[in-house]
Amino acid sequence: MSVHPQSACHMVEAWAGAGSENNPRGNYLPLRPHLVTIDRKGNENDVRRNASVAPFKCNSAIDDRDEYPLAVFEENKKKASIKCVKKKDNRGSGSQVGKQINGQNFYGATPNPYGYLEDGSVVEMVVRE
Amino acid sequence: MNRIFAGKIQADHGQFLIYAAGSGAGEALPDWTEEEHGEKGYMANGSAIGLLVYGGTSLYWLEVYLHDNLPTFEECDRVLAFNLEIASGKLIISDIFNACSDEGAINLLVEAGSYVVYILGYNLVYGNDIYDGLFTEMYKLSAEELDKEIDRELEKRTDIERYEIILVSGKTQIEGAIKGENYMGGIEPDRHQ
Repeated sequence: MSVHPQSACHMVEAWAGAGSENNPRGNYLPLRPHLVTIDRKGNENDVRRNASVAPFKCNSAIDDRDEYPLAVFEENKKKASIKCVKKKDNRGSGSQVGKQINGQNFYGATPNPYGYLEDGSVVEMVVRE
Repeated sequence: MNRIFAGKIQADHGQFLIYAAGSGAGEALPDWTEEEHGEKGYMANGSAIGLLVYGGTSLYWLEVYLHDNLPTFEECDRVLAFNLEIASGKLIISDIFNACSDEGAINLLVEAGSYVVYILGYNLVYGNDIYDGLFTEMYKLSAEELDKEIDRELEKRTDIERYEIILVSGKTQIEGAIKGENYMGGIEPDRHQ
């Protein structure tokens, strides 16, 4: 994830229970998990999530709302840490995770040896140097 | 012009993919970290197209049409054109997480062949998405009611960011942005005020 430093930093902060100061979902607790469960359908159907992050404002010309755990993981539901990160960083890291859980190659990353991972699969999020 | 889809597209992490089933999908697409693609807001490789959106939300209204001729572009802010080989006869439009080789969030059957895919973007202003609408009040609704209400809102709100994809049989000599500025150059936020 180090090719996406802001997303990686946010991930580490979320593991430690930190977060942005105006995070509507609360800061510093709970600790967000390293092990997360793939839930694509839950994400697709969870329009409520889009509403729930609405109060969290970023400079929309520059930043995206980055969520950890990512919305594609079950552990995201109502418990994700949110932080403003550069659009390029957020979109690149999302693309990387998408390719990795779908068993596609991603340059600079270790290929996922298990191929396409079904919903319910538990994956470990790590930050590479 | 024959409309084959109308509904919302989920653009997780500000992007969605358009590709032919069985083509290897996003496998060969590079990453947005590559400066060129991030700045243009799109990338394509003949079998898949990746597109970045302007807004910060994940939900956008999308309509897909089959058209016999080159469509008109007067009202939209940006037009992208790409050649796409749909040998399988199945077009997939999907967020990155649901983008598998043979299936995605939106699956459309078309006649197998070569197509020019025109992507028309409307109201492309940073932050001009559904968050500017009624989300706070909508949040009180049940998940099912909220889903329907967001569909209605997205369809009705012709003033916010939305997309049309038009498929025209054949090939084009010119690919990329044929109308509109480069993505990261952006359209000034006060343009629509």
